[in-house]
Parts: sequence; C-alpha cells; structure tokens
Amino acid sequence: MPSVVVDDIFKAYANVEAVSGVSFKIEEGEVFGLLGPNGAGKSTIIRLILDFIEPDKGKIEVLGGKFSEKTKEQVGYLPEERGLYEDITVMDNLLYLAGLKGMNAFGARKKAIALLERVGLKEKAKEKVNALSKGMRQLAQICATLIHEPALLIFDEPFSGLDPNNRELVKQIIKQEKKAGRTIILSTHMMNEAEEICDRVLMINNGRRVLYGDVENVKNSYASHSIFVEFEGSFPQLSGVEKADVRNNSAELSLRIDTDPQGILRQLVDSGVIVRKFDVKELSLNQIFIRVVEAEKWIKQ
Amino acid sequence: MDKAVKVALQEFRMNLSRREYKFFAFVLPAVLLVIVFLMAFGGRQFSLAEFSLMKKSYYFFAFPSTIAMVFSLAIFLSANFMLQGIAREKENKILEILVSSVSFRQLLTGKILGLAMLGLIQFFVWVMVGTIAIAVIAPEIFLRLFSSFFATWVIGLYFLLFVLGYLLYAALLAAIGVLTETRGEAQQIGSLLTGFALVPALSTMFITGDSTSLYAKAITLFPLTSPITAMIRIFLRTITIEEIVASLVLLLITTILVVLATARIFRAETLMYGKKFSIRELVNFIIKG
Repeated sequence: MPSVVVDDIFKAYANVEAVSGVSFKIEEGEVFGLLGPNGAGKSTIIRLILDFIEPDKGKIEVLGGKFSEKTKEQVGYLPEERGLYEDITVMDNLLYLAGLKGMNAFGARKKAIALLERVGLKEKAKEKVNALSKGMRQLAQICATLIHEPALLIFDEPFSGLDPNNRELVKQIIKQEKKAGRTIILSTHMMNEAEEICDRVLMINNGRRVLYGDVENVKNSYASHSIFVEFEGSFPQLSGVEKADVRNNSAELSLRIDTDPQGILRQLVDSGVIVRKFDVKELSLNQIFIRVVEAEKWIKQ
Repeated sequence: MDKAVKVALQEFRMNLSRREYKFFAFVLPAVLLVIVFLMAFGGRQFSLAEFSLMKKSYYFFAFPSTIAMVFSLAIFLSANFMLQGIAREKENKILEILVSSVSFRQLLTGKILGLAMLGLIQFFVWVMVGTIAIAVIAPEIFLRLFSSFFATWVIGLYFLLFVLGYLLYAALLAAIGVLTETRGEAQQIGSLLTGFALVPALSTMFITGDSTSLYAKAITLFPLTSPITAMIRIFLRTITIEEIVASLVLLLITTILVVLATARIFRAETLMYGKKFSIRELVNFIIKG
C-alpha cells in the first residue's frame, strides 16, 4: 500500500498557482526525492501532505487515509526553517516534542539518549539550545524528528547549513531509517545528495510536475542528450547540437532535447569522419535538473 | 493525557521560571508580608475607627489603586506571556514542528490553560497575602470582613472577574501574536492594550471620588476595563448589583466572541506563513471560518 497518494492537487495563493495538477505516489519503505529549484512548490506540497493547508482541488491520502490527529503521531517532520525552544535544554525539547507525539516520558528519555548518542550530542543533552552551534541544533532537531519512530519521515532541506561531515552523517541516518522500514520524503535542491540516496524522484518546477519516476529511469531518459566522441579527421558542423566542445580528436556534444543520438552518428559517418568512440553519456540529476529548468524558461520565452 | 494539557504544562513550566513572574508572584508578596509583620510587631496596627477616617482622606484612592494595579499586572503578565510566546515561536520557527504534532485548537487551548494556571497562582498568592496582611495589620477590619458572607462572595466575584479578564486579554494578545510579523511589532501593539488594562488603576481617584459618574459607569461596562474597575468598586461598595450583572454579562459575551475569533485566525496561513489579510478578509474569515 502506498504511504502517500497525491492526486491532481491544485493550490493557488493570490491568483498565483503554487501547485498545479500534481499527482504522485510514494511507496512504503522508499526514499522519495521531491526536487526542484527554490520557489518550485516543494514546500507547498509538503504543507499540503501535512494538512497544514488544504488544496483548492484534488485529493491527498497519507498512510492509508485522510490526514487525522492519529496520523500526526506517525509522521516525523523536519522543516526547512529549523527551530527548537532556545532557552530550555536539548533533552527538555526532545521530551516535550516526543510527548506531543504520544510517547510516555520514560520511553522518550531512553530513546532521546540513544539518538543523541547516535549524532554525537550525548554530552550536550543538558545544555540549553542557545548554547549549541547551528550544526548541532540541526542534529538535535533531527533527533526530535526521529524520536517517536514514525512510519513516514519528511525532511525538508535536511542538508542545508551542515558541514560535509554532518551531511554524511545525515545521509547515513536516512539510509538507516530506510533499512528500518520507514518511508522517507526528501525535499531538496541538492541533486547530488538526492541522486545518491533516493529511490524515486519527483521534480517540480513552477508548481508543475516535470519529471517523475525511478532515479535510473529518469537519468536514462536523458542519457541520450550528451555524447562523447573520439574521432579522426575534420569535425563537421552538426545539426541538432546545442553545444559542441571540440578538441583535437575528441568532442563533447550537448544535444537539443528533440535530437536523436543516432541521427548525430549518421551525420558523422556521412561527413567522412572516422568515429573511434561514440559514448552516449549518462547525465547526473543535477545536469538534468538544469536542462529541464532552462528548457522551461526557453519555452516560456 | 490530552495534548492540550501537555502544551499547557509546557507553557506553565517555561514561564514559571521567568524572572518577572517569580518577582511579581512570589518576591513582591513576600516583601509585602515582611513589611506588614514588621509594622505589626512594631505596634503599628489600624483600627476600624482609623480606617473610617482614612476613607475620608484625599489619598485614600491609593488603596484601591494598589489593589487594581496588583490584579491588572497579574492579568496582564500572564496574558503578555501569550503574546511573547507566540511571537517567539514564530521567530524560532518552532511552530511548524508543534503544528505537525497537535491541532491548532489544542495549541491555543493549551497555551490559554497553561498561562491561566500561572495567572491563578498569582491571584491566589495575592489574595492570601492580602488576607494575611489585613489580619495582621488591621485585625478589627479582618474580623468584620470575614465574619460575614460578604468576604467569600467578594472573593468569588473577584475570581470570576479575574478569570474572564485574563481570558479576554489572553485571546486578544494571542490574536496580536498571530497577526503581527515580528516580536517588536507584537510588543508595540501589545503595549497599546496595556494602556487599557491600566486605565482603571490610573484613574482610581476619579472612581473613588465620584463612583456614580458617567465615566465610572462607562469603564465598569467596557469589557477591557470592566474586570479591574468592578473589583475597585466592589471593594469600595459603590457598585450596584445591576452594574455587576451587566458588567459580567458584557464581559462574558465579549470574551466568548474574542476567543472564538482568535481560534478562527489561529491557523497555518496567518500563524506560520505570515499571510497578511485585509480587515475585510479577516472579518469574513472570522465570521465564515
């Protein structure tokens, strides 16, 4: 059974469509990437899933039904803008937030200690939050998100503001939580991180779905738009190429979206060039993301 | 345990340790008691005759003014914690985390209950301290007051006025906290409300002097000033039963309406995402939900 089903949702603010006709499903136990540039509509989608706001049209189901008070106890949310009570201790923050998720005090304390140890903050448990560095506060907040062992975790930009070590730690935590069977929504504009840990992705731009599916399938669908060629002879002018970086015996070609790589190969052969290597390159999610955004800009113009 | 109760306990715990609360709820009453005991042990006590003479003095208004100030501050301190709490939670961005765990209704109810507990502690501390002070410094007056049903009735009325006054200010300040963007803006608008809360205490000499004046009647009925004005006039025994009833009914209706309106605006768009509504939109929102 899918953990989240989003069906054709619309949400507008002051006549601006923040989300327009978006549909997707998140399967149980997967890490689902919600990707897109700033202002794309990712946070709006998260707020709709969490029932903070209601869609103008469409339907959302979370953990098998409409979002209810009970659902809140099964969801862990790490917002993009971090916040804990600054003038009370880390432990008090964790115990209070765990209590609001339905945990008893004894269980919450035990789990809090284990989590703080996991992120290297055990000695900071009795310190006030305002005495911690920014990175430590974020790790403390991740503990608050995990403490009640929710079935669904929603991380909104979990890597922002973290140094490389802590970023790696957070990635490990996400992988461990996935192993424990939790469903994870990872909203981020850090494509490299998303590519590394997500199973499936949804790319949003201007409130609309632009890409959706397995990370591998998404990359494969764009694989044909970048080619590496090794050749002998004089490199010809080719049609259907957006950018050509030609050196002595090699060339890196970025194709236009509607160009078939086979057509490029035919042009090269017909021009008399000897092709030694013809490599259809796999684009990273980051490169795909940039392409999609630029293509949308171009279409708009 | 209901989540609203958990929120209430947290609000109570966090604000109980605040310096201004501890000073006003515990330190100041303790200091007053020490002064009163010192005076009593020094042989300075007040008789009924002396009190009757004092009532005719021009400076007598200081008595009800002090009582008014004490209860005004007790109401306003707790209600102001509401404003500061919401503004702080908005600033610290912790609101999204809270709302992912509890409903808006539970959050608002919990905050009102938690701060009400703080307010009630102040109320009972001051009533106890006041009672002990009268018993020590003016035993004749104490015996007269507390031998009749009057004293219990008065304390009961004071309690009702205090609770309604607190609820009204707490709901209003919660609304201000929701609708303003920054803590500074919230404090500025909240200070305007302080003005209303202090009007009875600051204009006691006008109420004491001529308690049948239009001004005295008006501020007895106006909800923002009625709790404290009614307390002063009950102390002076210059208020009629009809005025008490009218003041309580108006206060109750206003408080219920303000609490309901605040509950309607206590939601994501205003609380977390700073959406600004025009006055018309806000009114529409409050009426239609």
